Amino acid sequence: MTFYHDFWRRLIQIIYKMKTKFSGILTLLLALVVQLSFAQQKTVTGTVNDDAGLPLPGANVIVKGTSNGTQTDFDGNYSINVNQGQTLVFSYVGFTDQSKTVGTRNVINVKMEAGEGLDEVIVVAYGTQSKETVSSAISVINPEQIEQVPIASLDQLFQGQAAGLNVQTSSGQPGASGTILIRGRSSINGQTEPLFVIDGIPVDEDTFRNINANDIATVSILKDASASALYGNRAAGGVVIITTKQGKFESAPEMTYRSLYGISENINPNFEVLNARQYLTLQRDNGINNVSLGNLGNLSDAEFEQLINDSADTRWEDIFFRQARTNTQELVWSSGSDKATTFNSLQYFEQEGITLRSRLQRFSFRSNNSLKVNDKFSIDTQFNASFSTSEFTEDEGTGQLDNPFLIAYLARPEVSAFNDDGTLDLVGDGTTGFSNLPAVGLSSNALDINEDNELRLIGSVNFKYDILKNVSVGLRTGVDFRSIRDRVIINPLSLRGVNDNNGGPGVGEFKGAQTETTAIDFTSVTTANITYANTFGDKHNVEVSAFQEYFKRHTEFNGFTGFGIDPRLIGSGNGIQPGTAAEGDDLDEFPYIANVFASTQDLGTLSYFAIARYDYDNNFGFQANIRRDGTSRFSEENRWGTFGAVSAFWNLHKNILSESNFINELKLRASYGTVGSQEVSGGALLGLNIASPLFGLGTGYQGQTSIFVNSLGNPNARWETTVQRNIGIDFTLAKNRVSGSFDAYRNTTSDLFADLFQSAVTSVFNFDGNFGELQNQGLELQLNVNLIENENFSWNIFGNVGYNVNEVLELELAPGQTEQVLGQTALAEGQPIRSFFLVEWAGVNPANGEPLYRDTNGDITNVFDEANRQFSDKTSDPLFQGGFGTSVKYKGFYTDVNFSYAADQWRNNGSFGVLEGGGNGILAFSNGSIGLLDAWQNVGDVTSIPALAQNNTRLQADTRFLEDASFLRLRNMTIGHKFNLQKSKVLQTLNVYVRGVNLLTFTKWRGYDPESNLAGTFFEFPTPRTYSFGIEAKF
Amino acid sequence: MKNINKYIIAIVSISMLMLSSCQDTFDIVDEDTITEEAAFRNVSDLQLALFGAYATYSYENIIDLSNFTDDTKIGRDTGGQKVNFHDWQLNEGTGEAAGLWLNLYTTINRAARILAASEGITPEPGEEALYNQIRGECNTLIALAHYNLLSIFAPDFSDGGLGVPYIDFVAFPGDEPARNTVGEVVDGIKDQLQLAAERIPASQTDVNRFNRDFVTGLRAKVALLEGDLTGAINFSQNLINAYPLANQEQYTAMWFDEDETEVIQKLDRVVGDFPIGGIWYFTANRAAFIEMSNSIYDIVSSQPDDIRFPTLVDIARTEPENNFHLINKYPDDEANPFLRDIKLMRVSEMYLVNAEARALNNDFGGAAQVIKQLRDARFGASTPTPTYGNVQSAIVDILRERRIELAYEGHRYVDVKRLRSVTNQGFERAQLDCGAGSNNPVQCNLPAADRRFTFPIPLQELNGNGNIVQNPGY
Repeated sequence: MTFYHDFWRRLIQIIYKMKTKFSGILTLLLALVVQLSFAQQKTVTGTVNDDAGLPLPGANVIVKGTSNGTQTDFDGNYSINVNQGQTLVFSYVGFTDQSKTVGTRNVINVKMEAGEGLDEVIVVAYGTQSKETVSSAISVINPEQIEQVPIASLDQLFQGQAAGLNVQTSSGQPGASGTILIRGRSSINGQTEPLFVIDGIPVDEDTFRNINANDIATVSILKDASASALYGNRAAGGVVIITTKQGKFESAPEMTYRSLYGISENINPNFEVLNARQYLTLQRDNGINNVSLGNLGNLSDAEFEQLINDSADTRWEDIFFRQARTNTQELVWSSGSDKATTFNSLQYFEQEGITLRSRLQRFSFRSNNSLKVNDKFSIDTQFNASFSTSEFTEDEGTGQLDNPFLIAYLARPEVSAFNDDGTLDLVGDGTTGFSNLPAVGLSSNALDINEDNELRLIGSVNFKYDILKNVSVGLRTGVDFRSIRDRVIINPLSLRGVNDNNGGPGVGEFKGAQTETTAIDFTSVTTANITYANTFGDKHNVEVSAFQEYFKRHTEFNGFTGFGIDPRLIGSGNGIQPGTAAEGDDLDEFPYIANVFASTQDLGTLSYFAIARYDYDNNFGFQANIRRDGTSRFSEENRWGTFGAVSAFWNLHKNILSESNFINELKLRASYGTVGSQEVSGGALLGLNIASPLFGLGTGYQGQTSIFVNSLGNPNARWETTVQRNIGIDFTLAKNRVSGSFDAYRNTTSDLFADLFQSAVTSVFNFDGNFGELQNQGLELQLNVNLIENENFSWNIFGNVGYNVNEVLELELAPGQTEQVLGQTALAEGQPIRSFFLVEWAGVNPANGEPLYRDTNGDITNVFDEANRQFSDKTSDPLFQGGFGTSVKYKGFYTDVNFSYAADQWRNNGSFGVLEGGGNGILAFSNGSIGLLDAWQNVGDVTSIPALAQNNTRLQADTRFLEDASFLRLRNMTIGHKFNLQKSKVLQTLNVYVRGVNLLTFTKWRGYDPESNLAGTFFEFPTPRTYSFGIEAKF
Repeated sequence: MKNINKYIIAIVSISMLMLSSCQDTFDIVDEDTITEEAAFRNVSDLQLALFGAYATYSYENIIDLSNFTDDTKIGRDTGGQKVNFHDWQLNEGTGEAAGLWLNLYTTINRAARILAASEGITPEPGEEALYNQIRGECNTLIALAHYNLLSIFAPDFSDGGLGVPYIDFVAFPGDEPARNTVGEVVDGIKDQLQLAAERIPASQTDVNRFNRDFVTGLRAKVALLEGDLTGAINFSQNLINAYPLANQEQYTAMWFDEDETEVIQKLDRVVGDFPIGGIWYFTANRAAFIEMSNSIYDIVSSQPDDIRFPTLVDIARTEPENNFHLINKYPDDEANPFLRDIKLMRVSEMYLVNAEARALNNDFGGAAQVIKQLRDARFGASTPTPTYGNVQSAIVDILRERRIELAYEGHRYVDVKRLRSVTNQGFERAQLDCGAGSNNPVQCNLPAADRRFTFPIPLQELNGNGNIVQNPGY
């Protein structure tokens, strides 16, 4: 206890030295100390039970006014040394605190009462706040819903969990990041994803594969200006604040072991391809020359029959998809004394992708600690270190023949996947052309390598010091460090290696290439604050804080590509031919000169901000904040942006509705404010130099090194600014059985950074500048109903829906133009972003099998004319999205069901367009959908598929392959049993469960996966279905 | 815990430490690029930028205009490349028009930047000549690009006619210049060439960098364009006197880049550059999507002694009976298909300028003599002196000679355009080139009065420049 005495001694010395009015307090303190020394001590024991009479393990028992305390054991028993006359305070999360004064009795048993109107605290920007006084639109995700879900990227776990939060995944690669939109798309070219803040550190929004989601304690989604304006310069897309678990003070050591095994498989495709007989017959009947077999029309019926019998009938899906395994093992331990707490986790996570080569393997370790140095000074730290290896399949989401998902659709069924000896045929006809479609992919995916190693360290330290009674200062500093080694090797023996020059300076005798890139991404942030908080007259609560924040991000990468690989030394530099190796008759050709590259990028911001809160006895109150941000991205004149917000709340249940029995809580909220976005060119690291002209070296006239203008620089580039308005209601009804919130918002983003037309005399036709305005408005509802709630049985249903309408308000358009065409979509005033702008497909002419279209007058024409494009009122971002589910508990049994959905979202189905677009050219070398069997053949055929001889129309801007990608997904379902084993003394609880992810998908979309962040899809990696079995044991 | 002050000290010092680093928040230097101040420090930086400006200038775009003339037809191996352009489908959205416009003004912008930067640089002793030469080369580029712009985008070349924006400064985003008159642009070009002649030293004889002779030759062409016949005759005569015509052997070698007897100015092309033959050929497999037209093949094949027949036509691979004619002006090369230097100006062009100016000046005898000299060299023997009875017959014959001599060198479109007021002729393609029997039917006639003898101001320019006026008919 020297610590304790030192503190008092120092305090007395300070007070003596100061010789101030504090002497009165000193007297009081001394009196306390004196009393302490002379009081009678004794041991009190007892049991703490909940309102149902069950023992409460881990309840806190503290002697009021001291740091003396203990916790109940597994049976709810406690034992504590106290003095007669002192007061014991019993507390437990979810229950109202109870106080008992120690009298003569040595046994004090307590029955805790479930807390009513309990003061729930939620994490907000730069701190926490009582839920009752929050005036912002904030959704909180229940961390239990995202624990032990076999998905490696935590942003994907948020799908369907909060109203107004749209999460879409474009790749089923384990660890691939999803794309999140909060309340719609807030920019045309700039960043639209929210800012992610983990333990106070802003982290990259696109890489979460190295973060263990089980460590998460809270997730808060800040959706309106009053919440996110505090993050001013990066918050236009909203903010996701994540905190990780901390140990509890005065808690017994606890250890948890978690284990999960899972199997993933491809979800059911919503289309069917031709089998070998159908495909070959289709080719024969339509005079299509098979790229390998030639003209089948020359064969007699018998010969053709023989050909079919001799051919394979391969379902390429079966070859390229596989059952993939997931295996995670995790140990968590935590503990807390009265001065310090610790929380630690160690996890191994391994997940295979459902196609060849795809895999993620991760080791992660977390240690979060907190220390109360004394009553005024505390330090807490969060530290996470993880190392992962990701292996990628070849060319996912591209039109390359190596892409397994392209092969699964398009490879010809009559080609065998196997050699005679049963091994996979990695050679085929030996080429890398269309004729060798499946073998190219088999060869690349079997022999080539594409992998990342990532080391990630995230650490933060938070100092807090109460310098005066109502004034505290704090300092948080943290770093996010990532080091990624990416390795891409084209094996000299693979078809790509043998046939292609693989980017080398020439074609040498040795084949193949090896590219290695090492990248470092370092973010550092330091926030200092001073806070004054006080209550006047018992009712006027005031809190004022001022902050300064310094943010810097530094990235660098370097690497090389070496050419001419010795197949015996793959992966080693020793296997790469030296650049000096000469070939050719005169030994004057140097086909192996390696490429080397290196680059660095830096970004800095400096911010000052302040926040003021006032409330009257939690009845009503307001909040105001202002923030000034400077960024290195813009020129000195446009560097600084000022953002701020005001908001207010009124708790009706404490006022005019206080008599109501039906309404337990009813809060009105309103907010108005501005937030900015400096990431006007897209990602954080894009457009770092938009303000000034820059020159670079390159190869110029006669191959000589030259100086070129790399960018003209726009000194007028400035922040995109969003004005956000929100009104909302939070409610709890019918004896707390029904709770929820309703919000309505309108967000207007102006100064959009976009292409502006220029005269060619400037050397460019297009140049980015701030011009344009767009708006998102919508409604959100979140609802939770406890249908049944009693000791043994509880049943709860919950759901949320977000409705968002996006509209471009102002746009630079060419004279005489009403829209800006961007591929299949176009931008126009009055239309949403990514609104499809297409010629209407009008089916097939029964007379001749030609495609028909509708012109702008609605008349049918057989001519495809871009001039007939019009807006179809369909966009790729959903109008409605959300989730719903239920959880049921009966004694130890429990089940959780989570659905997520997105409605009225449309995509151009590029993959299916190849499959069903027909066209003799394409059908010569690629398979088709069974729909082609219904193609137009004879005069009078009424069908939706044009004659096969018609050209494939998939690249035309028409509505034929514009498809409804709305979906309803059984995202997550768990059935388990929690065994309470407190009597065993070894094991506290054991939780055994089975959990399925993506079990069912209801959609009209023809493909593997309706989910995507793209307006058009092209053979993407589908998200898999996973079945898993897990256990969780608490010791 | 002896001293509570140490926490205060600790927290204050940590704060100071962290926040003092704020000084560097905005002190960010991009290591991968060079700032404007650092880009031009000395004469050798100017030269590096000049190499960039040379590389920017794409004479290939101008040679590509051959696809808009009667010298080409759609090839047997067409995949649709250039079909619309060849079919004379020309409007404000045509990519070729935008490509020419943007490239020529970008060239001007690059050269103007170097000139502007050079003002702030004092050459070291011994560097003055190079410094002046670089500035003179920039002047030449600005003049050349304006000459190209004027010849393609101006409807006619009368002094007060609609020209193009004349830009001799560094234009910045937001600038929206109006079109100058032809006279103003010509005056500007002449000013630039005057400066170039003063700045480029006589000792600059590298045929791959702009030299004084090229400046003189360009002055002759500009004079001809504006109707200054005396100027055209005098400037071209200077070069005729200075350079011999290549003999047949030298002429053949010239196209293999092995002889420079009559070359006044080259644009050097090296491995990594776009091979000129790629304008008509798939360089990967040497198949031609554009071939030589029957109309020019018939002319050159009718005079087989003319060395220009085998240099223009890939006789070995051509199958006239199958309507298959391959362009050989930039002969194939095994390692680097069709990669050849651009012969930007040869003295034979000066003979043709000289003859044309004389003919327009009614000196028919003089014109005929000049044409005879050129033909003698090409036939390797004495040829009959042509007889010109009037301006029109002289010009028609000189235009025919230009067509043969300068085929696929970027002249034909502008030549027919320039002289159609005299010849009253536009383009007339052979049936086998455009009609039945051709590989891909296209329009056969572009009448002399057609608007398409002037390229439209591209849509992008109209969008970005509120002061620009579109050409008539578009």
